[in-house]
Amino acid sequence: MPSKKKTILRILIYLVLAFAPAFAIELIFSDKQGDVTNAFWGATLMLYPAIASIITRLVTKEGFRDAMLGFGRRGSAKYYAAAVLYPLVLPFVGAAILHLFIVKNGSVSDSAFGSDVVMGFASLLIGLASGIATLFHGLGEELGWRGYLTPKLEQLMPTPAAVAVTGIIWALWHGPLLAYGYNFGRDYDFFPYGGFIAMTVMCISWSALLTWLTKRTDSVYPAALCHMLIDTVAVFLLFAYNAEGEYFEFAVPEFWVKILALFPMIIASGAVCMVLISRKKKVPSGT
Amino acid sequence: MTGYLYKEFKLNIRLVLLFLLTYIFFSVVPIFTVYDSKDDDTIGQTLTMILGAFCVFVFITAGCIQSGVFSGDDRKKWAYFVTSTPSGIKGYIGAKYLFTMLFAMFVVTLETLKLALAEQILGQSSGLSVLIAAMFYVQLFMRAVEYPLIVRFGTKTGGMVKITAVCVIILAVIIYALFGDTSAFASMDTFWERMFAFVGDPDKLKKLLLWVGVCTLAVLPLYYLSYRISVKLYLKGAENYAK
Repeated sequence: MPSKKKTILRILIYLVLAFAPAFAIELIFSDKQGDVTNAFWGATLMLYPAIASIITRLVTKEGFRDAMLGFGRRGSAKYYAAAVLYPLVLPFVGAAILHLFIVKNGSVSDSAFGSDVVMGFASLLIGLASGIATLFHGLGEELGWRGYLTPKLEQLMPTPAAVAVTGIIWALWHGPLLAYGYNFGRDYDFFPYGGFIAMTVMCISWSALLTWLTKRTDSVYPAALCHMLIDTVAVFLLFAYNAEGEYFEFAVPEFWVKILALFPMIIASGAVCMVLISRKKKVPSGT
Repeated sequence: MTGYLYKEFKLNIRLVLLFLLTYIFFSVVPIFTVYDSKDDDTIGQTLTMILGAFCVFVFITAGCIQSGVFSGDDRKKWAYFVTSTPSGIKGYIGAKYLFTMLFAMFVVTLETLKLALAEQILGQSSGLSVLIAAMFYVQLFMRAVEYPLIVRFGTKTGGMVKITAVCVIILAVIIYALFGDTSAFASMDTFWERMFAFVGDPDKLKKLLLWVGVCTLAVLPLYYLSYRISVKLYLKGAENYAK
């Protein structure tokens, strides 16, 4: 195992390489609303963590032995299934909470999804299909965060702390976009700090889930698959709109809608995964 | 497995680089071809048609590289060596399938970036992302059918079986064109009109999208099944390989 100093140096090289191009694009091409104006550079954003990890591995001559590029160990199929199922279940659990507790003037059947089930399922399937096809983008982030950063941090601290620190760094990587309202909008009292806090909680939870998938399979593909599908199977919003394409009336401000509807499952799954990856493997007696 | 994957990467790197070079040419040319007629009213349709045609061409070229991943490996000695390694046949065949899939995904990424570049330069979206995803699955489907044939009969015979199958399909299309109902294609003007009308009809489009989703996702289990069949057939096929 390399010395602590060497590991810290490798982490620093990686972070500079991952953050510099992303921050440059997010700042130079910012539309000041949480998105980027340049479609091309915007489309490259997810690739920088992987590019950073590849360059770092080449520069530090670490090689790719521990890059987890194989399919995974025997019995990994159930984790691949979990990686697909989680993003499919998440919007529906969110929709159930949304319509049970948050929406004031309608039901699921009035929503854009419920009023046009064919289109709803078509969106779901197309999202699923395009998520798998664009897995390389998901790999672009996961090769960096779960494939490089978390294992390196684990050499410096316990696994749960490494997972949490990765989550915080991952959230901060979206910093310039968050500062302008990415993911959570701008229309809330404590903008933009609320967005930062919410993103950090979300990233730590997903960091636990994705690290669990990576560790159990010894492969980055399930995490990349799960990450990409979370991004593409975005049917939750179809439950937040009515058939006319207008937002329902909510019992809470808009900022809290996503948090109250989606965060329970995100945090619960993250907590369970954190416990699972923290558990020490039992050493058989007599060894 | 990682070792086999590395071998595939090493052996195919020149082809992939060559592909990248031609790709840059074929991605820049259509964008600037369309750019010349930027002020044209029909720019949206022109953009979709030209970029769509080049997108299909790129996937066909990528398919040629994928088809070649088994070439040179159909040797008895190599086959028995592979069998004796810790990863075994599963690892060896799995690496081929994984490399193919990763390369296809790489092409999807390139195409996504190209469309984003086109959108940036031309100021409007071509709406071809569904076509890219569809082409990815068509490509996987083709490989899922082709690879077991190559594994069982070797690159040469497997290739011939594939060409025969393609010829039979082309022959069937020709026979249909000669004797079947071709009224839909009688006039290309009305064909495109009907095509755009079909895409413009929300109900039909919804059903089409649903079927596209179902069919594309059905390719994945088929691809896995193809991998399992290839693993099963490998040693049988090795008997026919050259020494």
